[in-house]
Amino acid sequence: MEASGFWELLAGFKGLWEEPQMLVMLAIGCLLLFLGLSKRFEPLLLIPIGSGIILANLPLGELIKPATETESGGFFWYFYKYALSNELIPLLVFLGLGALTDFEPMLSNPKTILLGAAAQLGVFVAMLGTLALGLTPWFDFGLKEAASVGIIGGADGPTTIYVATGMMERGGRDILGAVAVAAYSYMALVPIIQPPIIRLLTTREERLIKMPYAFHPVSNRTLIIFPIATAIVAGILVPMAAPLIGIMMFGNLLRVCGVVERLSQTAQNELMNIVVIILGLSVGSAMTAKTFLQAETIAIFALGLFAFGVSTAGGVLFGKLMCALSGRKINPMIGAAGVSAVPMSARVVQNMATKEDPSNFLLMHAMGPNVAGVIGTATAAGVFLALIH
Amino acid sequence: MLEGLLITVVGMAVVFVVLAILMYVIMGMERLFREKEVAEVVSEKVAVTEALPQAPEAGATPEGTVEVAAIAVALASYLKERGKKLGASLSVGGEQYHVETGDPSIPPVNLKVNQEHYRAAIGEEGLPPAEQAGSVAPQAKDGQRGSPGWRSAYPPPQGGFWCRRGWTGRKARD
Repeated sequence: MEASGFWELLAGFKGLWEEPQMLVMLAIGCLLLFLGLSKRFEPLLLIPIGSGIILANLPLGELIKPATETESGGFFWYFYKYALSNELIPLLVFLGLGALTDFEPMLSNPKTILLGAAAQLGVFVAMLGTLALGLTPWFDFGLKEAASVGIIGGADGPTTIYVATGMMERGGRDILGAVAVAAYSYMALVPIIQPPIIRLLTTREERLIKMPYAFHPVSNRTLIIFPIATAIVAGILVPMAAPLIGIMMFGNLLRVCGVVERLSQTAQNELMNIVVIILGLSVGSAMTAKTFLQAETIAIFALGLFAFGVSTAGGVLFGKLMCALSGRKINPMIGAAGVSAVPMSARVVQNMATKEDPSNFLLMHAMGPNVAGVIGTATAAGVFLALIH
Repeated sequence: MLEGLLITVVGMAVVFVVLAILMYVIMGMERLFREKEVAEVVSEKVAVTEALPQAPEAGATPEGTVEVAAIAVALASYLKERGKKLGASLSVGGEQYHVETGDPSIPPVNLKVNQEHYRAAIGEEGLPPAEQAGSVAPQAKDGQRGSPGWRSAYPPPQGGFWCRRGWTGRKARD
């Protein structure tokens, strides 16, 4: 029977018997699918990621096996090697993001940009926390791993992947799967994570502050020159952030220039959709039982949550400062939107405002720091990549 | 750890500096370009007014085409938001006009009415925000919130519009 290859048919059961941790990963994959399908938490990301986890953790690992001289690699292995573990996917996502992002709320109220800077506090505080954890005998976190974990606080998936791969190229350990999934999970859980922090740091009077929305149409020239100027300014001040910010601004230029509608539509829809599928499956496939089910991964998730919380708090506290300096004309809640989860954070702020007072509209005010946060996180990533070797 | 602290201080400073510079660049651009664009639109209007006595078109008076141009821009903008385009022929008061409009979402809008060229900019829309906001609360209190058609409110500049059920969200138009 053995000679006839009959036992090959039972290889799946044998694989599960030898590596039962796979069942845990299959459960995690199913949980992410449930959150995406049933709870509608970022379904565009959680469904491909959950599917990737399930498919990568099937016995024999046919989809993730690396290529050898005699045998071709698994389907996901090519995605991981040629798209995720270099800069390709994060930059293509940033191209689509730029084409999708409307910077007009930020351009019409530029002061709110500073809230996007304050909300990067969690990135650096979590980096310090990770370093402190690395001093204990249980964890082996160095500066490179700390930067990869800290950037989760920016709530920006592509930037997190960009920094993690950058740190791997600099000799850091491969924690890409854990940090990417942590970043995307927390992005999906923004409506659950942010409100208690906002409520804790603001009084009801502050949450009731109304910010009248006077529509100031931004001039066409400003809309077109802004992406060009941003790419140049960021490219000169933080050259390591230039690929991220430059490509995002290129995508935005396609959107606002008005003469390449086809390219803009492609970047926003077809290209972005293809990239999201590849990104989700690749991230999910990076979460195999061997690399994921470790105490270190749990620590990364905890630190990521801490980073995200501190970033939200940093934005809100800076919002309180701006509120005090402006004579209570700024609602400090919009500071929470300084994290890069666009437009989820801004929506959370809007929902909280209308919960307190149904006639209070903060969405457009919150969109300013929200899109500024994307530039802020990319800048923080550039700082990490420039200073850590 | 010391290196980490240094990166934190430098990193936060760099993020603030980069975004502060961008803030001032935006403020400068807006000051420069908004004034210029307003001046351009005003000068276009003056030019049209001055040209009126010299350029009467057969079939329609120049005054008529100015009004038709305004109607065409408003209609094109309205239809664009609904994913439709304004046709080439427009009938106003029994008079047929040939109309060609540019993209109404990118001001100033270039348009032709019976071969008369115009440039138009759509400025203020609707009521001031305070009044818009004020009008929402009573609707919600009157039980509109519970009705199946009620959606979260957006003022018109954000894409919302008014209907019998109250301020409706952007999704309602899709």
